[in-house]
Amino acid sequence: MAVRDITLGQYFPGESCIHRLDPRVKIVCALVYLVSLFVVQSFWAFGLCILLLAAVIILSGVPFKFISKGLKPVIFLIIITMLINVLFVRTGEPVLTIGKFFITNEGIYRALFMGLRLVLLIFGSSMLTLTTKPIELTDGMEKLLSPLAKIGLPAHELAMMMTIALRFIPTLLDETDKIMKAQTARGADFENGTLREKAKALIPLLVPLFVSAFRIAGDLAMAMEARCYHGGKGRTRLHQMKLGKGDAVAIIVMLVYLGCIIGSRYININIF
Amino acid sequence: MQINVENLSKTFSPGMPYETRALSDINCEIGSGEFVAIIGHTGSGKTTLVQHIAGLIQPDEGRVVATLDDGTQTVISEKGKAAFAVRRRVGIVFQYPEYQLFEETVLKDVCFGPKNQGLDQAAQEERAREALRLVGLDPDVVGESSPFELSGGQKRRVAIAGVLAVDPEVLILDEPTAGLDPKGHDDILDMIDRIKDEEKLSIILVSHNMDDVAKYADKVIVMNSGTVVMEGTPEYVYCERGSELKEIGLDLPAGPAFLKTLRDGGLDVDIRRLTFEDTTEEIVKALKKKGGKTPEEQAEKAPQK
Repeated sequence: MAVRDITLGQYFPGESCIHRLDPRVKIVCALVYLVSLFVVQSFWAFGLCILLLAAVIILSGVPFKFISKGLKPVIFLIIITMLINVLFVRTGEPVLTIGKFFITNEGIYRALFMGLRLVLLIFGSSMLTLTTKPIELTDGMEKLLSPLAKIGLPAHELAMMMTIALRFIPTLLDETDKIMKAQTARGADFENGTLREKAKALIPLLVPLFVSAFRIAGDLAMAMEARCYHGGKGRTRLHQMKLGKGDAVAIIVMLVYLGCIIGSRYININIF
Repeated sequence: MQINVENLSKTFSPGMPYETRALSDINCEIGSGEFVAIIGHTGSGKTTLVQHIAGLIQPDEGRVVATLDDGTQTVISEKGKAAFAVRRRVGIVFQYPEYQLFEETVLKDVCFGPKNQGLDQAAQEERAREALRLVGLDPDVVGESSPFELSGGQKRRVAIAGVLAVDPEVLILDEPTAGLDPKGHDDILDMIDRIKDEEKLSIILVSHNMDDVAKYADKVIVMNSGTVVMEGTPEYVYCERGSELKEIGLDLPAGPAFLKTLRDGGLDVDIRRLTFEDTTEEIVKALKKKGGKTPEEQAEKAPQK
């Protein structure tokens, strides 16, 4: 079923040292990594990014097949971005000319660069969600945002909303799958037809799905209130987050990496 | 229409850590006009099996074949293929089917199936009205109301009507009574039994309720962790192989279960009685043999004052 193929935001169970890292450290490291991808200006520095990512992937024990599935929904976007770069970059030497139309070497260079950057972005963020339980992730975010609570940012509420949203992704996917099958059994066709027909075919899916979503939300709100939930004030946690030795190693590795990446902007090794 | 399931196997998320073998090498048969019950634990593969029979998912191995009444055979599902045309001959009512209602009015919702089959407006409406009557609802009363205004039991009837309107030859019901009160529960099952006879349907009922199965089914298929472990009449499954059934954690219907307790307690009873009436009769017979008396006999013998 196509709806089951979404990896982004899915957890891959494991016991590796990456899995065991403090979620706060992982979130910060992932953010640093994502930002670093935009700092990089040369292909050889990307090599460094790939090296770090590869190390994390190997350490985490998540099969590459599983990670690369996260690319599927965005592959189209990546291809379009690359095409736009190839077709519209007008600087550099023309390498291919068809009539008035030409493609430059810089266009190809930038397309590859952007493509690689996007792929690494997806992989990098996937590694965070694949190795961190959604609950840990939101707990970590809440902790990281908690200093901002002083200036009025509802850190706990935001984290709770995220937790609930993440928690209901699989539920709603299952629900979608079920309703799709039920309507298919009544002869609904979600795959064939013109765009207009396809859009119309979604009504029998979306209406019951929304009804279900509201029902589930109502039930959940009631269940939470029945257990005296009244917001974040004074709540203690089941799992206290503590930084360990592994976290220290991760932070040091990340700092060294960041230093290298920033340094890479000033060292020019031109392979092209 | 007869349905044969041949060597059916299915694995979900192959190669993933969540990989689950839902079905392995399933063989069974659903005869024309039969009332077949599928029982088994949660997660034993019942729902997956019926979804294959309905042609909604494709197996990894094996196939489901339908033999039409004129003798022609069509594949309902095999690897790389789920047949659309046969799907319409097999109607499936999912668990909590009321959650699939979506139209503004009951009649429109029930019309959804026939409309997808390409019938014209008048024919659609006729089918829908007929289906609503079959489930015991008056199309003139509920037809124009919103399906979301109805009571739980009525919604479920409308949803079942929505499937019946497709005019299937085989009707699959996945726990059709889940979440209903005892009255609604009996009503729905009696209704299904009646529709089966009126419309000459085959019924496949997925159920956890052994009493229902004993009461209605012609044949029982018992599933355990993705395989068929028993297949036969309710008498065979419950009476001959009752102890095996208990081993895989399934219960006996109330009748045989109670008789078994009596027998273990020393009363000489035959536990091969499935229905409430037969069970009562058997107990009375056994008690009489022991010299017990009915209240009337006791009253007769009582000393006159």
